[in-house]
Amino acid sequence: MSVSKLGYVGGLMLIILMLVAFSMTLYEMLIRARFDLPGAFVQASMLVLLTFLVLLIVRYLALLWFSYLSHLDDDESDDQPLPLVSVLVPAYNEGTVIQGSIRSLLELDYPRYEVLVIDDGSTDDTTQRARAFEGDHGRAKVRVIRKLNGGKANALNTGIASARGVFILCMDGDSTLEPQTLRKAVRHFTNPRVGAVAGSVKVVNRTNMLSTLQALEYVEGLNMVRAAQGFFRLVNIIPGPIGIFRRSALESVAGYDDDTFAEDCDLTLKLLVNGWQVKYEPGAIAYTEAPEKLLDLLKQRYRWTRGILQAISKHKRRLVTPHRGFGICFTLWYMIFEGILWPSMNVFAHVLFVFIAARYGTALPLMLWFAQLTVLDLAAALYCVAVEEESISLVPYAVLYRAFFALTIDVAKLLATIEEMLKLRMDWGKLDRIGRI
Amino acid sequence: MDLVPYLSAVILVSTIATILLAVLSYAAFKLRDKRRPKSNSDAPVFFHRYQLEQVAADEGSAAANEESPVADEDGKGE
Repeated sequence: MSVSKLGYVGGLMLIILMLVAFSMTLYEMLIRARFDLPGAFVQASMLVLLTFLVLLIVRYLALLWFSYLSHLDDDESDDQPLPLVSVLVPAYNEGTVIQGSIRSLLELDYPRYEVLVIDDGSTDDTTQRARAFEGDHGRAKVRVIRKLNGGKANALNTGIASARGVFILCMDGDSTLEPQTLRKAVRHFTNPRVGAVAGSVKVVNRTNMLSTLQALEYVEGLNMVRAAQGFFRLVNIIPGPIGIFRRSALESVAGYDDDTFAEDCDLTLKLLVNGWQVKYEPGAIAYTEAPEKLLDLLKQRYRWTRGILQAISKHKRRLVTPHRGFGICFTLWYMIFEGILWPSMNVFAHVLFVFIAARYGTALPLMLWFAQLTVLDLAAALYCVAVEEESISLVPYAVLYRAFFALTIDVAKLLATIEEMLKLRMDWGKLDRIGRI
Repeated sequence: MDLVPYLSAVILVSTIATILLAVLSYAAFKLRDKRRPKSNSDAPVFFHRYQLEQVAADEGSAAANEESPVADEDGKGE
């Protein structure tokens, strides 16, 4: 990290500390508000929520701190050998975006790489559009593989089998990459225990409120968490739009499984279970389209939620065997906290506070809860836009994020979790691409 | 002027509206999902380790089907 950036981040850290101190005051007010409320149920519920809030505050502080350390820990040398890298682009009906995606790949700043487009039985013109780029392009060679439809995991396994690179970058057909991505990611592999590197995903289509809120969420909710986990080499989800793998690591876990709806999360957990380290590289950037309509967003989150729960379930034995690997055990418990406990508690808190407002005529606990979380979100957003060199204009969206977005997503997560527990049938539910890549 | 009661009221109204909107949106998403044509595959999925020969075979069959788009057999995609 450069000295000027360190100063910038350091200054923001001061503001962040002030915000965190303010959140402590709000917490104290919430404790006092609790004593004004009658009823054993309300009292007990408030006690549970206050305990949970302590966990949340610790979570925010820990993520901020370890994410900061992770950025300071950027000691990988740029003078590393640059072996052949295979870039896998699985595509199913990506006709509107595939050419933009390949075009961005041909501009990568890397001496030798191949691009493999795996057309997973598309029924549109994906193959024809991709084949227009087939052949040698100087540093890069493009190949197109067409196969029968079998799903993303299946397509990626096909790509892995025919890839020639020592390292393999897996991405989505609707993503584009920053030119420095391969150079930045590959240098982490000088450590032979590093099996994969998760990149940073950013939203490309910030065209309406919903997609802009997702842009903030990707930076604050996803990348900050990955940066903190990266400090311990324990990133728990290598995102679908950008993951760089050591070929031998992929082979040691037999590639992607197709028995969950979150194959990226499942593969990451398999790597961690098998003793590989997984790092995060903020300079390896993929731009992706975020859903611009609420129902499409819910569809995406429904799949993510159930897929992640399925992946956790596959490795549930590791939840109770910390002696076989504390890192993976902690990671799984953390995923349960983020995936089940937090959404459930947030929805429960809001319903309880609405009940208190209706029954006892005070909305003060609700306001304090909202203010508490908003202040923490603002602190995290401030920090994240600084270290990720994002637009500062994203920060005020933290208020709307907490007021509407997070609650809506948490309700969807909770309902999807219930469906997963009831083992209700689901299918892939591919999103329609908008074509802004 | 004490702003707290006004702010509390605004947050209360927006919270109720958001919860209602979230539940209704989820119901709408599920309804839309139900109306979509269903895939005909109920078979469980198993992991297959892909070998180069398998890829070559797939490529061969894909080339044969080049002119006629491959049917979406089980409704899966990316």
